Amino acid sequence: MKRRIIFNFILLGAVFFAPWWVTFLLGIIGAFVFEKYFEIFGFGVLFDLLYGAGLVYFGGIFGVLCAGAVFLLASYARKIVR
Amino acid sequence: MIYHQGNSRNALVKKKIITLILLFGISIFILIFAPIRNTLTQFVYTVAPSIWNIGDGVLDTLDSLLTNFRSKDALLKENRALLAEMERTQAQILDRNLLSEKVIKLEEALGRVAGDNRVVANVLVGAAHSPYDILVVDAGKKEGVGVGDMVVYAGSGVVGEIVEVSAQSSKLKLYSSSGVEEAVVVGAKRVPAKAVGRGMGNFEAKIPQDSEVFLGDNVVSAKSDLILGTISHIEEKPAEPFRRIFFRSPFNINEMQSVEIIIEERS
Repeated sequence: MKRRIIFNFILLGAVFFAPWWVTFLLGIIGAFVFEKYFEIFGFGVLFDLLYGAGLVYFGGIFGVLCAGAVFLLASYARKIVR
Repeated sequence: MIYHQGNSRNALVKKKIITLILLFGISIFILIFAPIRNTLTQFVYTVAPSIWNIGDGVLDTLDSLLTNFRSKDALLKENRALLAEMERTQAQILDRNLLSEKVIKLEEALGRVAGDNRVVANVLVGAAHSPYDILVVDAGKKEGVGVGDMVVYAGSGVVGEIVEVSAQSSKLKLYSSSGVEEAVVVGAKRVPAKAVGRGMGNFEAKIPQDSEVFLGDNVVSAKSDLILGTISHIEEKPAEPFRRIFFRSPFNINEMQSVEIIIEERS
């Protein structure tokens, strides 16, 4: 649990300060390492609110779409690996 | 027993799928339903600029501490700053001819010179942070910024327009974003064309085969008469009726520290 909270803070920092692909990679790691990593949707929404806008492509929901895709892929990968 | 274990596992999987669908649905709803999105964005942007400012402050402090110990790094930093300044100056020089032409036209018309209302804003978040090619700047509604206002760099190069405004900050979308179309005029003969963004300050446009356009010519936004870029490559195939021109912003989009927002008059 402690590890998860620390990781969430790191990911939150990445959303604000790191290039988007670093955040994306950290999201993949989080979803793979932690079980039921539903927090990723919160980070996806925050990412879109910070950097997206309704007038840009994907309607500014790229972060949430990626979060969904990462969550599903990581769940599938965990199933295969474990 | 095995039957029961299988049942409870199925129930857990079902629960996980339902939670996933619910969370995904709620997230999409929040972002697509404009009133909720706007409210949350305003809320997030009451805090976010302070966080970025603190982050910048921490980075600057660390930078100055480290440069005391590493003279090589100090030189590199100075070199980077000088390069950025040089790009800025080049962009300003590019605009001189256009400005003089403009002045002559205005004088000919004997009208009074119309000055636009500009607000200088610092870039809080650069293009590298966002896959949307969006920059966040620290001027918003309080400074009179509105959606659709044009944003220029170094006084001459137009970079994009405002797509979202909060109280103290705004988001600007770059014209060079992939797929964004912008009406332009190319070269001294002012050949009209439609420029398509190719990302990170690069554009592409098609012009008629017989157009007098050369490498290094300026490409100007038709809407504002401000420079969008300079031609870096021309591709022509005799079989095609068009020539493809590739042009790029005269400065590095990633190194913009501050921009100017042209405030449109609103009734």
